[in-house]
Amino acid sequence: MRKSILLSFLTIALLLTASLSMLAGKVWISPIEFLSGEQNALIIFELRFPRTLLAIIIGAALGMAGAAMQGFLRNPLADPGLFGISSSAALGAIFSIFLGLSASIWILPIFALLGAALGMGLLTLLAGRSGSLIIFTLAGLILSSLTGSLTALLISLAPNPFASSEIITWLMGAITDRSWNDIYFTAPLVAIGMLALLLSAKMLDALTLGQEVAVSLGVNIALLQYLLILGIGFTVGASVAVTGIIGFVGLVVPHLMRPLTDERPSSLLIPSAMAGAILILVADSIIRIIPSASELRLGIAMSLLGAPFFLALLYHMRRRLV
Amino acid sequence: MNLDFNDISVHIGHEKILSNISGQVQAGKITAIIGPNGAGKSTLLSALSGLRAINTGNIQISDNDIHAMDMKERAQLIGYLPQRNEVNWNISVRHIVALGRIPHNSHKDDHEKAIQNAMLMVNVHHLADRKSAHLSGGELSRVLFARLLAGEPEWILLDEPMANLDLAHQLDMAKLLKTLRQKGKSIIIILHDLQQAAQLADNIIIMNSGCIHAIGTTSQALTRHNLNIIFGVDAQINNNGDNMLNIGNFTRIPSKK
Repeated sequence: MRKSILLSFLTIALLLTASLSMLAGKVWISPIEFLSGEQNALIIFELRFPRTLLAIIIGAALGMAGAAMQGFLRNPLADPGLFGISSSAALGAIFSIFLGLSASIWILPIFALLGAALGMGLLTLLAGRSGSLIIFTLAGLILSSLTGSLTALLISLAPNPFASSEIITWLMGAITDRSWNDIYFTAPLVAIGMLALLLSAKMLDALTLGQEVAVSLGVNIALLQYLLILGIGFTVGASVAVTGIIGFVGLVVPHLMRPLTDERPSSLLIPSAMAGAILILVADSIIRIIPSASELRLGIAMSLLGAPFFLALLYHMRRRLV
Repeated sequence: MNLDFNDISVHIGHEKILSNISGQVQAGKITAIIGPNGAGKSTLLSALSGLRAINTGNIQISDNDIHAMDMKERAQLIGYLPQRNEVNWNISVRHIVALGRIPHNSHKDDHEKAIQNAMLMVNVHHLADRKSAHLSGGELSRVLFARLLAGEPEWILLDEPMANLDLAHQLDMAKLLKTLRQKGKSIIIILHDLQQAAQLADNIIIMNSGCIHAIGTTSQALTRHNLNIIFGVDAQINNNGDNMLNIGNFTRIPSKK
């Protein structure tokens, strides 16, 4: 598909799903009401609008982070979670709940960002300057397993059942009841992260021919590694800070977009960001429409969507192998 | 603009892959590196390309240390083609060849011209829109060579570029290398086929266990004596004049124990 057609198509889909997200919910708002304003102004501007915007920001962040990860690791099954940065951010957030500081709206996201920063620093130290794929992946694995076990430790040591239940609920990821403050917090950080990832685009293309050739083409692998850690750290770190862990987006979106592009890693970044936003918008709208006493958590919904997707992928791959 | 390497060593762990070797590669010539498996040919080539760090010594092109050079500048000067064909995503031939332009910040038209030229030179222009997954091994080798040529480097370093090619394309490749030499390019190439080395190269470096056994013009280096002790084979060598050697009738010398 031509790039301009794909981008126009994604733009239209984004506008449609964003409108859906503004209108859908326990209280449906008809387009006429929406335009006349007044009656539901509060719902629209204080609840729906920031929620829709947040869905777009988070989806774009996770989608682009996934595309960049897959390009860097040259593996279509790579996920930003592999870096251990999302679990570091989660650990930071959970630590603030553990300390009983989560009542203030700023403390939890700031702790999550500190966690992400610590994770980024540790990853940089562990990975070194070699740019070796294996060392980098192992460093990410070490970081994820370390933060994962520390998270479990904090849950088990929680001072009271409420804290541990709050931690578990938070971990599931959601964009319910988010306000403009969350937008002000996330948007600039995600923007910085996405900029870093876009700056790495050409270098990711060069990596298509392997690291040796990329270096012979003048690519500074150490610089690329820093850019990616920075980019993933800011996009994923800021996302986790306000929504908790939402998996699957970073993995599946680039996978779905790749056949629609010319398959160069650089061509995948923007479409993945847009498709990530669309996916989160749709999933979050569906969650709101499903009649249930308490809303389904977005993180769980995404994981539930993930399994059938992989089943389809597996089925497809098996058919090709036989 | 010759390439000089002085006292270079490469260690991997405690093992010395190259031990304190020195020599000169003449500019504007085709220099073949030959030697048995594990002699250090690929290591030498990647060291000369500036990609592999060296433990001792230095490598210079007209008094510029290539390891101290700005990466982009070096990428414009030296093109390197590794032995293994690696293309990770299913991208088109045109996009693969275009990657060769990464070191250059030139105008779009210049890029396009260089890409077209490179595809024409190795005769893959008709494949321009084909995806890499649909290429044969030989086609992919040629496309990757076109990628190198698109960068228009002065120095062309090739690690066994003939390995995946059928005989017809090997001959095309040899012809192309001679054309490139005529245009003033300097070429360093690792070859396994001694016959090919004899007919293609102006100069030869014979490697053995991390050392240079012989370095010189093709007729100086490719002697029966050298083939005997390095490769363990006997051969008939005819000098047709004009530095053109003909090697054939290889026979295995039983190893002495």
